[in-house]
Amino acid sequence: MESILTSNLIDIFAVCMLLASVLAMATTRMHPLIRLFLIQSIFQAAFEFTVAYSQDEPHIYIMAVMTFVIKVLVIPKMLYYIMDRIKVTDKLVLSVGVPGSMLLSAALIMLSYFVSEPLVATLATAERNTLVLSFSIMLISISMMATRRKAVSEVVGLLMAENGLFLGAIALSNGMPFIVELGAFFDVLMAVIIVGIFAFRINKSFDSVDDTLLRRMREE
Amino acid sequence: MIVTLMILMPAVVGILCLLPVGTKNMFRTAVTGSLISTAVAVYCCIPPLRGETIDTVIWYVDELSAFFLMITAVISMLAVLYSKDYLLVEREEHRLSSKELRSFYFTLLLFIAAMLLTFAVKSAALTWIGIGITTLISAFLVGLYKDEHATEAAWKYIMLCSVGITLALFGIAMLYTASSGVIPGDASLEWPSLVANAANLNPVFMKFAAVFFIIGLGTKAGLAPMHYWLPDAHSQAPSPVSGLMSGVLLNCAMYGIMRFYIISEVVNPGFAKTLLLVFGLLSILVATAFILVSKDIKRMLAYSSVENMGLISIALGIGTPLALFGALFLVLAHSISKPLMFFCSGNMTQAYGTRAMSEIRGVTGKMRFTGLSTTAGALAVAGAPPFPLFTGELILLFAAINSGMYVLAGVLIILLAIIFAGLTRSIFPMLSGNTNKKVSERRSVTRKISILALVIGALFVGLFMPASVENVLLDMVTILSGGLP
Repeated sequence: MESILTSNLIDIFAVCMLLASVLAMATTRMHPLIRLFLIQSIFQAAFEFTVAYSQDEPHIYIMAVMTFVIKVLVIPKMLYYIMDRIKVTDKLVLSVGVPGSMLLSAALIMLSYFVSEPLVATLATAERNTLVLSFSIMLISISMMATRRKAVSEVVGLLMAENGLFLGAIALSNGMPFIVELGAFFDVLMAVIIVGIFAFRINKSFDSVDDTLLRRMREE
Repeated sequence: MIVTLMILMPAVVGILCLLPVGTKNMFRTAVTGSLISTAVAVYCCIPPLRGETIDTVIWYVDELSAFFLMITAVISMLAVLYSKDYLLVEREEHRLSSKELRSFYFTLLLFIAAMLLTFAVKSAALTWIGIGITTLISAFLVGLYKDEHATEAAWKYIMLCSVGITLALFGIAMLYTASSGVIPGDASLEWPSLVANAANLNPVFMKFAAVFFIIGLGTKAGLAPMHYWLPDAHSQAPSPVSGLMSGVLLNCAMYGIMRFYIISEVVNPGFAKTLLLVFGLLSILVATAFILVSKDIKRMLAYSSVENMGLISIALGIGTPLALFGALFLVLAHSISKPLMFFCSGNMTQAYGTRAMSEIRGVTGKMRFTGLSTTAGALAVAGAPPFPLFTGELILLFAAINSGMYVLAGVLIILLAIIFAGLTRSIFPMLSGNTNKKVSERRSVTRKISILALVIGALFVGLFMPASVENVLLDMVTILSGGLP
């Protein structure tokens, strides 16, 4: 059932996921950041659905549903709830400004083309693009974690990196064994829950969830 | 069957600890339970150590797994034993409520079960899941004291390790891509079939898998430059947990790296080795610098763990049979000596109420037992003879020289000498001198038993090498170099 339409759709959804990551680098507020994660997850679910349809793989349908339920419905709700309860300021603290972040993202995308060069030679065209996109999303999300100084933005960075990972895994081998995927979803969900618990605690002992805290404990 | 029992035991005991039966009974449950589960684990590990590999649908326990399982089971039993009196003091001084004690034991025992799971499973995917679970559970142990430092440490721990675990998962995805065409069906991520079919795996994918897997699990193993979480997490956790995290949890990630290393070295000879050499050397460099400037005893010990993990990965990086023997010996040596020193430091920090080494003086005069065992522990951790770390480091240096890496050997000798000086310079002044504080040794049998057991274990491993143990280690070297024993 692979047709030009589905392969184009796959490409479009994957590119939209990357766009969401790049836009996340350009946001300076937290609510839009969470919304971007939500949008990225919608595109991911759509991507998975299209792959499942074109490859006729039933277990990717399940993944698409799980992505939609967990990453689109549950996790953003939880993040909003945490944000509301701990009353943080909506503003992000950027250690690299927006123009710098944009340049950084562009550089990282080029870097991913460069590093995936030897891999790409062995793959079909459609997989090639998605793989490079997945690398880019992971790199951009991790650099977002490193340059944004709020707890919630770090969580969103981690979640976006996870999205990039799933994109790559599905592009390469139609997903991993089901147990791994289940484990990964479980891991993400638990991580968000635990992060929520700690965010409440931080809120109790600090005035705000301010991630200068991740840089405070150093050798004197 | 027996393997399932071994892993379920600690979890069941953990749940039993949640029952509202009074603090004293809870301690009894925890200690007896962990004694029984260690007995089960040891019973389960003896056949594999004799060469009878357990190989079922989910479980795969060969000598390598059994070696790590044994270490985990024994050290965690000693940690539970030690924690009894340690936590009693914390309770008496109102740093923890009895509800928190209950959840502490519940988490601790679940944590132990998760670590056992990591070593006993057959599939790379399940090993990954095990490592993921250990991170999630132990975050609560790090953040046990709900003050700001502990919460910060736990936060940093879970964030950085989650990134590491995500990267490792990508490594597994790559591994799966490389193997799914070669090995059909469910076996495509199982360690034994991966080793058997390693020669047919796609080398390009395996290179990418190696990079992601080693960086990802290296984060969890505390290799520099991904080690930032480690000193905070290990210093903020209560001392028994610090000992467990240093002595055993780091092994979990190292075990994953070792299993992967076996396959990767068949497909791309030298690639994983180079990576491990670089990370190992970086770790030792970073550790050397920070050991010299640390003022907090537990942070200093945590950096010493970074150093030890660095040594193990350098040994893997050299990769000759002698070096692999050294790597395994170093694992054993580190797993015994680091908990020993953390338990001793637990005694001191509780008695003096501080972790700053400059404020702890005159330990030998006030606390005879702790003073003596700290002397042994300090020598063991710093790597002095007759303790096993010394032997391990010596094997590593010989291996480096034998394979012609003279520069590496020279650099290692200098760095190890600096580390030795740094550790002893900070620890020994605490033992002598005088203090105005009112401190005294706790009369506690459990503390003494657990510390004494570790001292005796360290001395035994350092001085004797029975032929049976040597054979097991040699068989593991064969496994690590890609053969079947």
